[in-house]
Amino acid sequence: MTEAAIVAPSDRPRPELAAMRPSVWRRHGGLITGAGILALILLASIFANYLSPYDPLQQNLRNTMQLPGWDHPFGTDNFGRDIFSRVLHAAKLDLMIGFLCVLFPWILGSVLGGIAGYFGGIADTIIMRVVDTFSAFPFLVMVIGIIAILGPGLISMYIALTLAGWSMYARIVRAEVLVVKKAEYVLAARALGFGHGRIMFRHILPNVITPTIIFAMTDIVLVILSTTSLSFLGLGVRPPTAEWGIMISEARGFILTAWWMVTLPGLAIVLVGLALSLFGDGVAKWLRERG
Amino acid sequence: MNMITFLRKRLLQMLPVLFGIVLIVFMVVRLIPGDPARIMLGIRASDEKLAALRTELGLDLPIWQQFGRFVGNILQGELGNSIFYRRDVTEVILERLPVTVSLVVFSVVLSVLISVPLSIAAAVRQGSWIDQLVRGISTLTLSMPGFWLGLNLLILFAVVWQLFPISGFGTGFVDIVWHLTLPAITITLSLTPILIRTLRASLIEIMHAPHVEFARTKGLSEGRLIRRHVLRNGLMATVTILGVNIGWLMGGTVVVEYVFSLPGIGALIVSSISARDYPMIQGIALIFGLLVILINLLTDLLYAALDPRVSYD
Repeated sequence: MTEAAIVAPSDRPRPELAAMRPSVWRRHGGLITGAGILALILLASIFANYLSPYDPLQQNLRNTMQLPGWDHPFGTDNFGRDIFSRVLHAAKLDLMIGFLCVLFPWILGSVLGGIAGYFGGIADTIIMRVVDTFSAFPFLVMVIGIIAILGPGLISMYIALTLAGWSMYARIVRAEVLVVKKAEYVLAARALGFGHGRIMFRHILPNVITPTIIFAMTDIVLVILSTTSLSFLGLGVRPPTAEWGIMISEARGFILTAWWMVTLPGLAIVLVGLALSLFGDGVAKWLRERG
Repeated sequence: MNMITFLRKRLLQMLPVLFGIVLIVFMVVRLIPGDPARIMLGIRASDEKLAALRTELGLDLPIWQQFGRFVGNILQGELGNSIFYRRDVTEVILERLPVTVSLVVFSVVLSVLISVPLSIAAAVRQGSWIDQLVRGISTLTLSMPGFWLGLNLLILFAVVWQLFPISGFGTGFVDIVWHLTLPAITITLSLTPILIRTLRASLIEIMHAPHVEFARTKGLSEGRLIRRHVLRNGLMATVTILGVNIGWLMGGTVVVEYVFSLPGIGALIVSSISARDYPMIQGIALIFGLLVILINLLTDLLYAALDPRVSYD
C-alpha cells in the first residue's frame, strides 16, 4: 500500500481509494461489522429510556403473555410487562457486568503473572502453584462454590468471576515477561539502575500486553455467557431487575405456552456474543498483523 | 522412562493441586460470614441442634485440627451428611454420578463426531466456502448461551413436535439415550465451536509442517497425505483440546442438567446452594475437581500412547 501511495500521482487519488476499499473490507470486514453492531447495541443501551416504548417494570395484568405484534414487538410476559423494553433496559447492566468481569481478572492476573515472571524464584513457584490449583477447578463449579460462600448476588458474582478467571491471564503474562525480561532494552534499563517498578510498568508492560488483550477478546464472549447463565440459575443478579438471564429464567415455566418469553430475550445475548466475537477476532488479527 | 515411573512422577506433580483443591473445598464452609451452623439450619433451629451440627462438622476444634479431620474423612470416602437429604453425601453423589457421566460421554462422542470431519474439511480447503461456512456456524453457536439453546430445543422438539421428552433420565440404554439426546445436543453445540476453532488451526499448522510438505513434494496424493499424516496428528490434537476443555464441559453440565431437570450432580449443586446444603456443595465441588485432574492425567497418558515421539518424560 505504501509503495502504491508513493508512485500514485497526487492529482488522481480517487481510483486508488476505490481500489483500497474492497481489500480493507475483505481484511477487516469482521472487525467493521462487529464494531458497528457493538456501537448500535451500546447506543441502544445508553438511550434505552428514550427508545423503549414502555416502562420495563410496569405490570399490566390485563395484557399478559401477548404474542409479539405491533404494540409489543417482543410480546409481553406473565406480568404483562413489555419484553422489548425490558431487553433494551437490561443491555446496560449486562454489558457492564461482562466488561467488569473481564477487567478485574485481567488486572489481577496480569499483576500476579508479571510478578511471577519478573522476580522468579520463590514468588514464581508460589504464584504458579496457585495458578495450577485454580485452573484445575472447573470454571463454573469454582464460581458456584465462591457464590455459595458469599451468597447469591451481583457483588458475589464479580468476586467469583475474578477469582475463577485470573489464572489464564497470569499464565500468559508470565510467559511473555520471561521472554521480554532478557531483551536488551530491559537489560539496559536495569544497567542504568532503574527501579523494579519503573522497569515493569514502563519497559515490560507495554510489550507484554497485546497477547492478554487478544485473549480477553475471546474471554469476554464466554464471560457474558457465564454471567447470564449464573443469573439464569438464580445465583447472580436477582429479580425483578431486567436482566437477560433472569428474564429467560422467569420464562422457563411458560415454555409450553409462551415461546417468545424465552426465545426473544436470548437473541439479545446471541447478538452481543456474535458482535463481540467478530470484533474480538478482528482486533486480534489486526494486532497480530501489526506485530 | 517407562510407564510406571512416568505415572509416579505425574501423580507426584498432582499432589500440590490436589492439596489446593481440598483446601478450597475445606474453606467453603469456614469462610461463610457469621455462624455456618446457624446459616445451614436456619434461624429457628434450637441450640442443641446447632451444637450437634458444630460437633459433627468439627467447627468447635482449632482450625488445623479441623483440616486434619477433613482430610482424614475424605481419605475414608466420608464427605459428611447432607443437611437437606439427611443422608450420606457420598451416597447421594454416587447415585447421581452416572447421569452426569453419561451426559458428558454422550456429549463428547457427539462433539468429536461432528467437529473432527468439519475441522478437516475446513483446514484442507482453507478459505473456501466450506471453511467460511464452518467458521461462520461455529461463531454463531459459540455466541448462544447453553440455557437458552436448551430451552429453545425443548420448545421445538419436545413441545411443538413432541419427538423427545421434556425432562427426566429414563431407564435402560435406549430410553436413556432418548432422554439425553436434547441435553447432549445442547452441550455439543457449545463445545463443538471451541473444538473446531483449535482443531482447525492445529490441522492447518500440521499441513504445512516440513514432513508433510516433503511428502507432498514426493508426489503423495492429497487424500493419502491426509490419511497418513494429518489424521493421526489431528487425533492427538483433539485429545489435547478435549482435555483442556473438560472443565468447560463440566460447567456446561451444571446448566444443562438444570434446564432439562436431569437428576445429575450438576443440577444438585445448584439446588444445594439455595438449600444452603454446604456438605453437599463441598462433596460435589471435590468430585468435580478430582474428575478434572483424573481426565487431565488420562489425556496425558493417551497422548503419550498415540504419539511415538512422546516418551513418558
